Amino acid sequence: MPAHWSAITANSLLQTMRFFKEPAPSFRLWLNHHVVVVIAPVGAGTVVSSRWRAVSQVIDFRSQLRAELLGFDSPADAERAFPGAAGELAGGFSLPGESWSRDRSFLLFLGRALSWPLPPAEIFLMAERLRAIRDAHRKPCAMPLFAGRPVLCVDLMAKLDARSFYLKGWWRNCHGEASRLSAVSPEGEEHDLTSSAVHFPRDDIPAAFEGDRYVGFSVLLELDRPSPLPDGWRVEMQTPDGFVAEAPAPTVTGESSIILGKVLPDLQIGGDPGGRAAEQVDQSICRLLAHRLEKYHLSHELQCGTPVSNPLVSVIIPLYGRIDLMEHQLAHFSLDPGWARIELIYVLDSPEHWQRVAWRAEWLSRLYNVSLKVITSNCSGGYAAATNSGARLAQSKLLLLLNSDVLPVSPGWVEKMAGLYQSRFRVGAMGPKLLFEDNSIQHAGIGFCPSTDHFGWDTFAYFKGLHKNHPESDRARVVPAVTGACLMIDRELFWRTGGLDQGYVQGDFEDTDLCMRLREQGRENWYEPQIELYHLEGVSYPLSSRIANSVYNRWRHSRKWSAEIESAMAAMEKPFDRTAQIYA
Amino acid sequence: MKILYIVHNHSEIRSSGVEVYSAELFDAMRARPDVETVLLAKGGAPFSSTVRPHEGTMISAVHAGDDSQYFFYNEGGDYDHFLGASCAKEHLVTYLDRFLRDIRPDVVHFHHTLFLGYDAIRQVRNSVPSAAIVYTLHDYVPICHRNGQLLRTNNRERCLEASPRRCNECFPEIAPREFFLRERFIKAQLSLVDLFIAPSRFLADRYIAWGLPQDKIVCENYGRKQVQPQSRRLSHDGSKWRFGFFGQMSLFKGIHILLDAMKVLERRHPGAAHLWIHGNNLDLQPVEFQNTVATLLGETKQNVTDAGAFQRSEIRQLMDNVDWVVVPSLWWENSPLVIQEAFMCGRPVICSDVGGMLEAVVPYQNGLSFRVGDSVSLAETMLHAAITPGLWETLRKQIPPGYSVEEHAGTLVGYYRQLLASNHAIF
Repeated sequence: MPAHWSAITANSLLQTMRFFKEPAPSFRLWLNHHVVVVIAPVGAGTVVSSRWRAVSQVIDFRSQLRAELLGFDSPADAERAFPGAAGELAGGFSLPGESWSRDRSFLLFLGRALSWPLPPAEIFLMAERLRAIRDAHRKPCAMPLFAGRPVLCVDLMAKLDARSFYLKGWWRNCHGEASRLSAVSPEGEEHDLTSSAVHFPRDDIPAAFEGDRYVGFSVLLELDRPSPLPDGWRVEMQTPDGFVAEAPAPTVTGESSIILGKVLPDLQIGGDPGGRAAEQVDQSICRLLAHRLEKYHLSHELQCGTPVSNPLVSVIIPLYGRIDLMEHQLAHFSLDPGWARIELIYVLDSPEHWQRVAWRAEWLSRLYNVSLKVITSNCSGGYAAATNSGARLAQSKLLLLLNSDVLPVSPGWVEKMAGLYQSRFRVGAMGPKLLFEDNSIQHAGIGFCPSTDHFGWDTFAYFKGLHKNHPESDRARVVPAVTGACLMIDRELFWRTGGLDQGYVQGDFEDTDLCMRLREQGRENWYEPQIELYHLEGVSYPLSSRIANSVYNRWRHSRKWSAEIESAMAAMEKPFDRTAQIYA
Repeated sequence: MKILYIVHNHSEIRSSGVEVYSAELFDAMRARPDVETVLLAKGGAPFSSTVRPHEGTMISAVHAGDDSQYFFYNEGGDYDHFLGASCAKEHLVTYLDRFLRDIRPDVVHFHHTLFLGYDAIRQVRNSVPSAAIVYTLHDYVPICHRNGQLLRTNNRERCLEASPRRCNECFPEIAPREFFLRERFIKAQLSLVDLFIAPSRFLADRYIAWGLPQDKIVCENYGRKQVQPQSRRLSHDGSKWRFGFFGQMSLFKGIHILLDAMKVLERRHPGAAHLWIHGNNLDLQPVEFQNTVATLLGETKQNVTDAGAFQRSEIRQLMDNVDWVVVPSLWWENSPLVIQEAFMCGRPVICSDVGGMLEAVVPYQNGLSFRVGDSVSLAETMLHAAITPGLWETLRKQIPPGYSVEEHAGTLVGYYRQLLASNHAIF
């Protein structure tokens, strides 16, 4: 659950707890003059005659308690149904928020406070109903006051592999620091988190009462043996004055990309790139990726057309989502007479599209007279894993890593690039001039600059956005790194260097990591402007997810390569370096 | 020499411009003793409700008694409108391939690839590598996603430059890069064509500006089946006040400009002119536009007769009943067939002063022009035409002789021979 939900609903939770403090046959929570939630034991009967009730929605909490949402056409009707309602409303304060998502979080919390999570579909329905009622009667919400208990909330309990979890939450600190924090397994086994948890302020949660502070915690929980039960974890907290708070910790499992999306944003919560919070996130992600790759293997391989014998270059193209890009590329490759010597390998990293891709590849190969191989794996392994598994099948001495959104400007480019590659002494990786659709430069080599958030070195592309005719972009030169969107490398060198590092999160920094390793081995990475291609950056891989992932990747990359980056950038700043003299 | 014509539709299914012209050309070509001619027209959806009649093939005969006309039933739903690509490659790779290998044409001449896919060109190159590929550019669809109208969606400005950024301005929901992919895809397929036929200079210039190689485009107007012009005078007093509109009742054809002009005329010079509207497909237009037209028709009852829809075959007969033919299109047009037909009937034309229209009509020689989109300018031009003594006769006399489809066929055969003799390069 994202942090802002918990923040918004902190108040709602406090309101709800009134129910426990003053046990009553039924508890009424007025959302405004027209809408009330009635919580009562099952069997208490319908509390309100349908005569006054405009809208109602009932949720059963495992047949013990029921919450009924009631809406009235007018405050007068409400007063008729609940004599004294006006009094209950008087002197209250506003429920934070009017939007349905807040209502939804409120309901979720209602469920949580009662320790019986609501089924999401029901929450959604009820929240929708609430919204409709509120839209109909826009009135200020009034709530009775309640305060004074410790509050504990678990934001996330993400399963990383069979034995580890990433756990994150917060508590309201009105009784001093927690003296003890622990996680209780579904089997009842207690794991002390007091010393392993990292604490940080949660300023994103607005204070319900003056003087309140919210303390966040995160922890990497590792078990000695896997728990056979899928769910049922709890977190407990004890305050120095003896209060105990408990919160359910529903486990998030499933697609690693979803879990990544939840864990990754926490990298910066401690605000310290070298701190324990960041370290914990890093370890969690390593575990998650390792777990994913343990299962990863090639599952399908299809050769369309006659295999190319003795290919000049093996082109490896990962496909993810936009499988239509395959036809765009083939329509151009087919116009290239030199393409007959090219081995083309598409690696589908969204295996759910395999049937469609295999069918299409077969016909496209025939229509465009291009021999190609398509492969896929049992699960999505990310850009690096996909590219590596394609490269493993490559026959040629030269590899060309290519993105599916790269299109040639004119024929003959691969052969020319291969010639240039082979003519360079101690070359590591070689990258061409890549253009946006408006002929501005997308890539002319990659450099590094310190990031403003102090989480490592950012990358930038030289001359990005300038027109392709910009004179300086026409100089072949050694650059710190080149993009993996179109990267040529000797196959043996590629494997000797270790291939692409699979420890990054989806499609960022794997290329510069490779380039740094090459540089470390004394190789030079060349930018080669004689080769021009179009690169519709971001089409094959949406930018939004890239941004979310890139902080982590940048941080990881910088930790590995700080020294190498500094020396590479220093070399770029020399006014007359060797390459400048030769190619000026 | 064997010529295969590939058309996106057959004139028997729907007889609008390209279909009528391609049928006339096919007949003229078939009458020639020196060539063998085969026609392959797309059958089935979306133009026709029939589905392919035989299992195991997508080819079937158009008429039981005709051995040279075929339907190719690739199903219409398997077409990517944005890219102009066939989605069911197996139709091309299997059935079109077999057909081409069996027919073995020396020349494959495309009239349109709508609903067939530009990739059909690729298949032709694969199946009959030695055949020359000719492609007639009937409109601007490859350049402009807005049905090739070259009219901006926001302000109806006529457009002279397609680019990913500008096209995205017209279609904000489609990213500029998609337009780039579209253009690159279409150009990749069109690069396999040996010769493009442009029916007007204006159209040729648009395609050259777009990036088609100049040495692959020739200007060659549509040749048409000729008829004897009618000379009968319509009114007793010698005034020429009968105007006619023939064509689609669409926004692009500017019918609302013309009706507006009739309003202006009636207000200023009651009885000076009368307009007969022969318009098709108003029901296919956006409701908003239908309402506009209905309102305008209501306001111009005095001097406008809405004669309803017409068959293409009636057009010459209908033109006999008017003195002038008005072509008020808002878009550039290519080489409008209605102008050719007006000229064949000996009727001077009043047209918008842009694009392919102004190429066919020379003002004060064989017609008059007015400022495109300007209904007052049109009203004044019509008034001038109606009341100026002797103008009609002068213009009529100077109408150029029609370009016959037989002569046109001869020119095309010349190009085909040149292509085959020069290994597919004409220039």
